Amino acid sequence: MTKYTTEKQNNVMLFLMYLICSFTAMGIAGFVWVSTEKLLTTFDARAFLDVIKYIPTGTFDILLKVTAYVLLLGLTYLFRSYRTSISQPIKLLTLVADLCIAFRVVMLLDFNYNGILLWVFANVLIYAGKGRYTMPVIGAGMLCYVLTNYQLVSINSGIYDISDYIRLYNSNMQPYLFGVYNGMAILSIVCFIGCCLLIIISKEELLEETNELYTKLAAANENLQRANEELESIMEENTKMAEVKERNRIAREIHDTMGHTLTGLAAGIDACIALSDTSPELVKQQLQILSEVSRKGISDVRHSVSELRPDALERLNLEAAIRQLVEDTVKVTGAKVQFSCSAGVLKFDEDEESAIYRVIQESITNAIRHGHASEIDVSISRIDNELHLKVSDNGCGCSDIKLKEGFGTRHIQERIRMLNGTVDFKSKDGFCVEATIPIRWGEEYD
Amino acid sequence: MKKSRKTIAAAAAALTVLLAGTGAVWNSFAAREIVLEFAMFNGSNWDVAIQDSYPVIDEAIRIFEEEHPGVRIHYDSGIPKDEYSEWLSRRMLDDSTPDVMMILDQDFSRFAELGMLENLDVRMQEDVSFEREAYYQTALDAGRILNGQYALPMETVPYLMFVNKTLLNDENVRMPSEDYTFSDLYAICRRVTRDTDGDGQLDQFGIYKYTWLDAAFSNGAELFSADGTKCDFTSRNLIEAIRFVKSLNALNKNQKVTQETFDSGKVAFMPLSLAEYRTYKSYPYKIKKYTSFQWDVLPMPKGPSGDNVSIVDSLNVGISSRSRHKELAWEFLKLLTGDERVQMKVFEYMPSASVLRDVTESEQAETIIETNLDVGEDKTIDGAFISKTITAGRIKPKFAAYQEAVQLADGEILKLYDEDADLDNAMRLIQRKVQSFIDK
Repeated sequence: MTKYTTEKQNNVMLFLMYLICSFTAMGIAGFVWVSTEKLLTTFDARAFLDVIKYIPTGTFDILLKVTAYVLLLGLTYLFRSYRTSISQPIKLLTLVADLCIAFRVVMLLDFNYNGILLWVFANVLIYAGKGRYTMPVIGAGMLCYVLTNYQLVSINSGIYDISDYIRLYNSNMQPYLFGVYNGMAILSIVCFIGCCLLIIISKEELLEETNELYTKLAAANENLQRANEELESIMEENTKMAEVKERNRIAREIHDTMGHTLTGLAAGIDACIALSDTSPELVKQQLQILSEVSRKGISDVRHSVSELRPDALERLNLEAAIRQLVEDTVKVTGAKVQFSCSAGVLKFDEDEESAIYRVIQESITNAIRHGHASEIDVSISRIDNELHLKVSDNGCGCSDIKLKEGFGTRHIQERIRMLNGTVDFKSKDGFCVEATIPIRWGEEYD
Repeated sequence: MKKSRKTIAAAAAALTVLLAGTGAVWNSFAAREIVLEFAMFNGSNWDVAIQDSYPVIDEAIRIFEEEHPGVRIHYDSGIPKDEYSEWLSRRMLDDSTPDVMMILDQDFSRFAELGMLENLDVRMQEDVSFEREAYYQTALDAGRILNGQYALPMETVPYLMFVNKTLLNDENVRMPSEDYTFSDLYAICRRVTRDTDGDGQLDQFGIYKYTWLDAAFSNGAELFSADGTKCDFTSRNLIEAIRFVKSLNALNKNQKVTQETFDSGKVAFMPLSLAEYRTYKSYPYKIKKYTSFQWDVLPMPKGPSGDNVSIVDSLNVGISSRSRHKELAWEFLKLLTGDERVQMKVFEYMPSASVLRDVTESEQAETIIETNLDVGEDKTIDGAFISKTITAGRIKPKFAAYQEAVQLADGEILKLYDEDADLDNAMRLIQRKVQSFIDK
C-alpha cells in the first residue's frame, strides 16, 4: 500500500517545490529586468549606481537564460519520474546535470537565490537511492548550498544585491517585496524539509510493517511450540495407553493360560481319581501328562509374571521389591539367596530403580536358569557417589563365548549403559555380575 | 500526390535559399564593420565656455578609421556635461556601456569599484607602443586608484593664481616672482587691503576664493591616506596652512569679498584654472570678463613646509570592462591620449593643456599661445610654465567619499576663522569627525 502512496506524495511535494523554486528564480530575474527597465525610464540611474554593488549584465538575457535552465530542470524531472525503467547510473547522471544547471542558475542570479540547489538536493534524496555515488552527490550539493549563500559569496566578489533593487520602489511597497522575496526563499527550504519528512515517514512506515510481520512471526512460532507440546503429551498418553493395553493383554493371557492349564489339570485329576481304583497303570500315565502340563503352566506363569514384575516395584520401594524378589526366588526355586544392602535408604529416580531391579532380577534368573546355582549372593553398596551392585553365585558359570552370544547379559549391559555406568561379568567359581552406577545423589529424597 | 510532393520540395528549397541568403547577408554585414562606441559630453570639462566640442574627437576618429579599415567609431553628440553622468549610468544599467568613454571625476572611483572600467595595467606594461614617460605623471595619477590604472588622461588643467597687475602697479607693488611664499603673499595682501575712497569701509582687498585646501596643498599637507581609509587633520602642515588663510581673512576685517568686487578690479589675487585663464584671455570670451584691468597668472604661493604646488585636474578616458572589442578600444584610447597629432588638437581647441609633455612644451603650442591669447609683452605664461606647474602639481585624492569628507571638514574649518579657539584642539575634534565619517 505505502509504496504507491509514498511515491505519489513525493511527486506532489517535488512538483510543488519545483513550482516554487522555478517561480522564485524566474521571478528574481524578471524583477531585476523590470526594475532596470523602470529605472531607465526615470532619471535615477546614477544615484542607483551609488547604492548597488554590481551592475548585472543584460538583465533580459538573464531572464531568458534562467527560464530556459528552469525548464530544462523540469524536463529532467519529468524524465526521471515517468521513465521508471531508466537505470540508476543514468538517473544519477541527470542529477549531476541538474546540479550543474542549478549552479548556473544561482550564478546567473548572482547568488541572490540558491533554493534551486535544494530542489536538486531533494531530487537526489528521493531518486538516488542507496548508490555508490549518492553520498558524494549529496555532499557536493550540501557544499554548494553552503558556499552559494549570498552573504558568504558577496564578501569577496562583485555581485548585485536584490535588496538594492527592492529599495527602488516606494516605501509602502518595499515590505511586501521583501516579504515575497524572503518568503519564497523560506518556502523553498520548507518544501525541502517536507521532502525530507516524506522520506522519513515512508522509512518509518516500512519499519512499522516489518515490526508487524515480526510480531506475527513470533505468534506463529508460539502456536507451533504449543502444538508441539500438545503433540508430545498426546504421544506420552499414547505410550501409556499402549502400556496399559499390553498389560491387559498379558493379564488376559495369564488368565487364559492359567485357566486353561488349571482347567486341564482339574479335569486330569478328576480322571485320575476315577481311574485310581481300576487301573493304576493308566493313572500313572495320566499323572505323567498332568505333571508335564503343570510344569508347562508354571513356565507360562513365570513368563507372564516376569513381564508384570514392575508392578511390584511400583507398589513397593526398591529395597522391599528386591526382598520380595529374593523371597519369591527362594520359594519357587529352593535356591539359597542372600541379600545385603549397605547403601542406606534405597530411593532413586524411577529409571534408576527400574534398572537396578531389572539387573538383579536378570542376574538371579541367569544364575538359576543357566548356572543351575544353589547359592546366590546379592549385595548393594555405596562408595562415594557411585552405587556398587554385585550378584555372585556358585553355579557352573559360563564360558566367554556364551557370554558374548548373549544369554541375558546384553540386556544388563544396555540398562547399565543407559545410566552411564559400567558392568563387569566374571565366570570363575560360579558367575559374578559387578556393576557400578553413578547415581544422581543430589536429587536424593529424604 | 505527385504534385504535393513537388510543392513541398519547392517550399523546402525556397526556405533553404532564404535562410542561407539571410545568413550570408548577416555575416557579410557583421564582417564588414565593427562599430566602436565612444561616449563624451558636450562642452568643456572645466566649466568654461568653448566654441566647438568636437574638433578633437573628429580628428581622432578620422585618424583611427584611416588606420583601422572596417572599424567605425560612433559617438552621440550633444549630451550636456551635467546630464552625462546619468546618461552613462543608464547605458551601464542597460548593459550597453560604450566601449570607450570620458569619465567625470565624480564618477571615476565609483565606476571602477563597480568593475565597469577595464584595468589598464597589463596593457600599459605589455604594449610596446605605449609610452608611459610621454605623459605627465600627475595626469596619469588622476586615472589611478589604489589597485590599478583605470583611465588615461586626455586633457589636464593646473590651478594657477590670478594676479591683478593694474592694482599692483597702482599700489607700487612689484609682481612677485614665481617662487613666492605665504609670507610674500601675506605682505602684499596686507599692503593692498585698504579704504581707497575714505568712507571708513575697506574697498580694496588682497585675495578672493583662496581656501585652506589650496594652502594645504602648497604646504605639503597629506589629508588622506591613499586608499581613503585614514585622514590626518592634525598635521603641522595643515595647521600652518589654516593659520595662514585665517590671517589673510583677518585682513578683511569681517568684510565680505564678492565676485563683483573682484570683477571690478578691487582684488589683487584669486586662484583660477588654466582653462579659465585660456578662455578669458582669448577671443571671444576675453571681452566678457576682466576687461577693466591688466592681469596675469602665477603659480600658487609656497608654504613654509611645502612648495609652489597647485591642484591639477585631468579629464579621464577609460575602456568598458564589458567591451567586446577591448583591443580596438585600447588602440583608440592610446590615440586619444598618447598621439601627438590628437593631443595638439587638444591644445589648440580645448582650454586645457595636453597630457603629453612634448606637446605642451612644443613650439607649435607656443605659437598657439602667442596667436590665440592676449598675453602681452611681459607674459609669464608659456609652455614651459604650464609644464612646470603640471609636473609640480598634485591631484585630488581619488576615493569615493573624498568630496563629502572635504565638505564636512570645510564647514568645520570655516567656523574656526571667526573664533579665537585653540587650533590644535579644534583640529583634533575635526579629525575625529572626518575619520568617523569616512569609516562609515
